[in-house]
Amino acid sequence: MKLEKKERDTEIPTSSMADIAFLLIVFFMVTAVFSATKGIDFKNPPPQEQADIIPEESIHIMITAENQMIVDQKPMPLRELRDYMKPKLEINQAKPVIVQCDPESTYDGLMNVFDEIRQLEGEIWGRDEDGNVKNHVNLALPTQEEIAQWGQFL
Amino acid sequence: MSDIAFLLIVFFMVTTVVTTDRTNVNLPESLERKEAPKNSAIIVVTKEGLCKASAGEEMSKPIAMEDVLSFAANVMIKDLTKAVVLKADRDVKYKLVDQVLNQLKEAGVRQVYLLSSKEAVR
Repeated sequence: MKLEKKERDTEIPTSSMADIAFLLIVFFMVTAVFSATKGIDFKNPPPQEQADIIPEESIHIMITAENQMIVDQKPMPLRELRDYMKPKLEINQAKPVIVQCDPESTYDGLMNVFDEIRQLEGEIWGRDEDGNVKNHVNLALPTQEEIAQWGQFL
Repeated sequence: MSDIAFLLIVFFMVTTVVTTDRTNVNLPESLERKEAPKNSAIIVVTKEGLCKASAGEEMSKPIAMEDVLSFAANVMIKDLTKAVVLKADRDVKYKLVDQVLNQLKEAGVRQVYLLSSKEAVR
């Protein structure tokens, strides 16, 4: 008797492949969080450098409780800040910039000023291939206690 | 069909960032945005003034505002070059931000990233 060889179906069933793929797509779409890791970098000075900042020779930016700016005792809108600071920084690149925020002002006000300063740094010193500014201004963000100590200057 | 589907899967798998924090805050806007290094420690300050922290790997846990110093010191002991990302709401009062930054400074944190969202060109 001749045995008939049974033909085995060896293919992987692919008809549900697309379904599985779409399920995975939906899963990754739902869980995807697009890069929430970008921001303004800020370097804390090492403790001993603190004393280098001499309030009288600096650009003094004060942010009031209403997020208005007072630059060197004169009120100034945010868009004029760059034009005001640029010539001063071009003369003395190490000129300290002091940002003093009212405790009642919001984080937004501080970030706007930081952003303007970073843009200005880009204008003055240029940027590398990655878009990072090449040099930073001598920025100080005094704490409430330091402001109290500097009281007579500010 | 399934080729396209797999392409999309790969795309989303690559772009998915395993985030350590999912707190919903209204970030301030800025034009300047620099990518923070992966696995940075993160400190979140919400509009209500609540504080959360994570050393980078695990999910963020709520901590008291005064405990930022000890938290940051613990992080810095393990890795002195570690950057700290500050994710604060745009309406947070500066006195809270000051408290956090001050404690980070005391803990010896050098590199701080102030998270922001993309600003529309003015």
